[in-house]
Amino acid sequence: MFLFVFAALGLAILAGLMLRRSLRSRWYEQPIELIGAALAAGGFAVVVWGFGVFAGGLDVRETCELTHHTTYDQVWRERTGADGTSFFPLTNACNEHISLVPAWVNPTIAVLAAFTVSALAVALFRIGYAIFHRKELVSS
Amino acid sequence: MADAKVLEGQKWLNATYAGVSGYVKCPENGQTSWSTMNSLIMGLQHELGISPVVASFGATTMSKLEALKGITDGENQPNKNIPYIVRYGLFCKGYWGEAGDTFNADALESMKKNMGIWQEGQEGWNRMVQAKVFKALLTMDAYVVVAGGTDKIRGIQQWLNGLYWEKSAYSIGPCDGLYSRDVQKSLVIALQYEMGIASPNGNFGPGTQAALKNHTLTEGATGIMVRLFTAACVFNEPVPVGEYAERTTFTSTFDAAITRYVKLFQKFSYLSDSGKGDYDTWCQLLVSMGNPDRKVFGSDTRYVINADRATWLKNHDYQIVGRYLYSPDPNFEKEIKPGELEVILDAGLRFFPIMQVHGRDATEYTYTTGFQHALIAHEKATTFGIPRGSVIYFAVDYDATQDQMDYIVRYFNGVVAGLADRGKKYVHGVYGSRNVCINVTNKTYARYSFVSGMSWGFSGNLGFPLPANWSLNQIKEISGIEIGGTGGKIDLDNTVWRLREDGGDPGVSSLAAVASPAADFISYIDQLYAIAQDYKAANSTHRSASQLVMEFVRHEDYGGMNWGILIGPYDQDWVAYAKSKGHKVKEDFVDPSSGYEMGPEHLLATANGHLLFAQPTNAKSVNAGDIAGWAGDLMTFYANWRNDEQQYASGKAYCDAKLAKPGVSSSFSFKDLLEDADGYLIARACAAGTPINQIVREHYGNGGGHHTRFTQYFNKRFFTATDCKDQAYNALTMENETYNVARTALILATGAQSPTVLANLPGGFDKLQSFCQGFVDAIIARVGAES
Repeated sequence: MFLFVFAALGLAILAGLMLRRSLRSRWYEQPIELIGAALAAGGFAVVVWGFGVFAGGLDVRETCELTHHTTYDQVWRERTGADGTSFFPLTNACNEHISLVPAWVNPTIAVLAAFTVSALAVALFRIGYAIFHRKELVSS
Repeated sequence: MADAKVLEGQKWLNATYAGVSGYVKCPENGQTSWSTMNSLIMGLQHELGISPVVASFGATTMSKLEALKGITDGENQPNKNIPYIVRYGLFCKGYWGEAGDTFNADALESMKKNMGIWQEGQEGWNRMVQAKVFKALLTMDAYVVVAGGTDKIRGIQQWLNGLYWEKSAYSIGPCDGLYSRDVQKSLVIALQYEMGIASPNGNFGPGTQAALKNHTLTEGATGIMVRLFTAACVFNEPVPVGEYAERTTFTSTFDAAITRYVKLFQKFSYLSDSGKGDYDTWCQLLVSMGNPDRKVFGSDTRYVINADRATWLKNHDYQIVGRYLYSPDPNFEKEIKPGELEVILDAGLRFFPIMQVHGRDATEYTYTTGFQHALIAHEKATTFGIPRGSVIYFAVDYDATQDQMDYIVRYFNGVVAGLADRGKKYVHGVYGSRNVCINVTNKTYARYSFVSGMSWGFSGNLGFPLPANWSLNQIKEISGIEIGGTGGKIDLDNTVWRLREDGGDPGVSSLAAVASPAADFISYIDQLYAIAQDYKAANSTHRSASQLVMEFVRHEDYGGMNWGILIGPYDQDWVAYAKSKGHKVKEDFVDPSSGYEMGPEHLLATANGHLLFAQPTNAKSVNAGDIAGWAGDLMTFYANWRNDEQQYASGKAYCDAKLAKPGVSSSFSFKDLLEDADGYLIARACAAGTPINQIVREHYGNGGGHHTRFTQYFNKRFFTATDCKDQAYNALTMENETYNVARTALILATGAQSPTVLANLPGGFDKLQSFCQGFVDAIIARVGAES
C-alpha cells in the first residue's frame, strides 16, 4: 500500500511540475504531460480503491458490531450484493442502513478513472496526430 | 519504586511519634500504603489529644478536627505538626510542592479540584483543610483516573462529591474512574438524600426500597433523579449485546438514547424491557439481587428432589433446579441421590450440577484442592449419568475479597487441570459473587457464571456489574417451604435463569449419552468434504478437497475483495455447486474444552490462510497466513489500544484486561484466539496430507487435540516466548507489501498511530514491546492452563 501511495505521490509531483511548466503553454496539448497526469490520477484511483476494499477491515462482522455498534445482516448482504465481493462499484455494508465503504469512495474512483482514460485517449490521439502530420510534411 | 518525599514523611512520622502510646511505625520504604496512612492518622490523633492512638479515623478524631474549624498553612496555626501531617498526606497522594515548614496550599487546591469540591471565588476556603477533606486525605483513595478507570465515571464521582460532601452521612469518595463499593455506597446515600430518607446510611433497606417505588422515571423526565439514575446506568455499563458492548451517558435528561440503553440493560438482566426507570430497574442497578421478589423460573437447593418435591416445583413454574454432586458428610441431605435426576427430568424439569466442598476461607482454595474437587466432580457426574459437555458449577461460597482472588484463580486452575486429566468430559462454571465470577471467567475461562446475587452486601457484589456470561443469578432464599406428601419441608433459593437463546446455560435435559459437544460440526465437515471430493473429481481444479471445504465455509464473511487480495479468491463455481446440493455455512458449534461457541467461518478462514502460506522457516518471521489468523487480530487489537490509550497507558495492562477474555468486548476475543489456534492446527495437519474431515474429527472428538490446543499452537507456531514476542513485534512493524496493506487497513484507517511511528518516539519502543509482551503472556497463560 505504501508503495502505491509513494508511487502515486511521485507521479502527482511529477504531474504537478509538468503542469506548472505547462501553465504557460497549453499543457493538455502535450502528450507526455497528459500521460503523466493520467498516471497520477490512475495511481490515486488505485489507492482510493484499496482504501474502499479494506474499509471493513478483515472481519466485517466484528467491524460492524464493535466499531459501528450495529448488526451484521448476512442475508441482506447476500441478497443485495453488498458483501464486499464487487470489483466496482465497491459495496460492503453491515445492513440496510450502515455502509462500510465511505460515500466519497466510488465517485472519486469513477472521476479519477474517467480522467485517466480520457487523458490517455487524448494523449494517444495527439501522438497519432503528430505522427500523421509528420508523415504529411515528409511526403510533401 | 521509592519516592523521596514519601520517604521523608515516613521518617518524620516515625521520629516524631515513636514514643506515643499505640503508635505503630510505618515502613520507611518511600511507598504509599495503608501502613503509612494509618501512621498519619495516629500522628493526627496524638496532635488532637487522643490517647492511645489507633489506626482508624473514627468519630472522635472527626469531632476534634471539626472543632478546629479547618487547618491552614498560615503562621497562626497553633499546632505546627498538623500542617506537617497534611503535607505528608499530600505527598503520599502525589500532590507535591515546596512547602517550607507547612503544607503547600496550591497542592491542596489541586487535590480539591480533583475531588470535585473546589469552589470558584472561595480562595480562603479552597486553601483550608476541612475535617472531611482531612479524612479523605488520609485514605488510599485516588482522585485521578487510574488504570482501567474512565473519565466518565470520574466525572460522576466528582459530581457526587461536589454536591453531597457537606451532608453528614456522606464521605468524600475516590475520583479514580472506577466503579467500586465506596462509589456504590455514595450513590445510594445521594439517592436517600434526594428521596427524603430520614437517616441516610448507604444501605439498601426497606425504607429505600419503598421510596424507590415512588420514583419511576420515564422518557422526558429531567432533574437530579435522572442524574442519579443515569449514574447508576453508567456504573453498570457496558451491557453486552452480542459481540459488542453498549454504553450510555451521564445526563439530567431521560431521552430516547437512555430509553434504548435501559431496554438493553433490562433485557440483559432479565427484566421487563419497558425502557422505564421503574422499581425493578432501580433495584437491579443498585444491588446484585435486584428486586428479590420478582418472578423466577430457576432454583437451587441442598434438599434431595423426590417426586412430590419435583411436582411442587413444576406446579410453581420452576423449570430448572440446581443440585449438588457431592457432600463431604454423607449423612447430610445435600448430595444427589441415585435415581433423583431421573425424577427431576421425568417431572419435566431440567437441572444443573453444583460442586461445593465447604470452602468458606481463602486458604482452602489451592490448586491441589481444585484438582481433587474436579476429579470428584467428574466421578460423581459420570456415576449419575450426566452427559458429556455439561457445565458443573464449582462454588466459592463466601465473600472472597480482591486480594484473595489469586487463591480462587489457582483453585480454578486446578479444577481445569483436573477436568482435563479426565478427558474434559465436563466443562467448569463458577458460583460466587460477581467479582469472583468475573475474575474466574477472565482468568480460567469458566463457561457460565452462577452469581450469588442474594448476598448483596458482599464486597464482591457491591460495585461490580453482572458478569457478561451470567447464566444463573440467585436472588432470594426461601426457608421452610411446606411441600406436602413425602416432600416435607425444604429450603429453596430463587434463581433467575437465563435461557440458552439469550446466552445462558441450557442445563441438563436428558441423561442420554452425547458423543461430543462438537458432533454436529464433525458431521457437517464430513458431509462437506464428501461433496468437495465429488466436485474435485468432476472438475479440473488444483485445489484440494480440504481447501474447498475451507473456502466454502469462509466465503460469506471472509470472501470479499479484501480476503481475495490477502489470500486469494475462493472458487465461486464450487461454492455454487455446494449450495446447489443444499449446503449452507454453519454458524457455530460448541468447543468441547471450554464449552464456548466457536465460529466455523473465522476458524476456516484462518486455516485457509495458513494452508496457502506455509510457515516461514525463520522462527521470528511472519507471513500472510498469520494475518489471516493471529497477526490480523493483533493489528486490530493494537489499533483499539492506541485509541484507548487514555485508559491504558501500558500495552501489557491493556492485553491483560482485554486480550482473549471471555465476556469482555474486544476485537481479539477469547473466541478469536480459540479459532486462531485451531485454524492453524487444522492447516498444519492439512498441509501434511490429512483430510480436513479426519483432522476435525480427531481434534474435536472425545479425547481429541482440543485439550492441548494452546500448547500445540505455541510450540509449533511460536516456539519460545522470545520468538513469540519478536513475531508480534514484526507483525506490527515489518516492512513488507502485504503487511503494509494490512496495517494500513487495520490500524491507520482507524486513525490509530502506526506501530512504526510509536516505536520511534521517545519511550515508544518500550511501550510497543510491553504490548507485545502482553500478547505473549496471554498465550502462555492459556498454555499454562493446559498443563
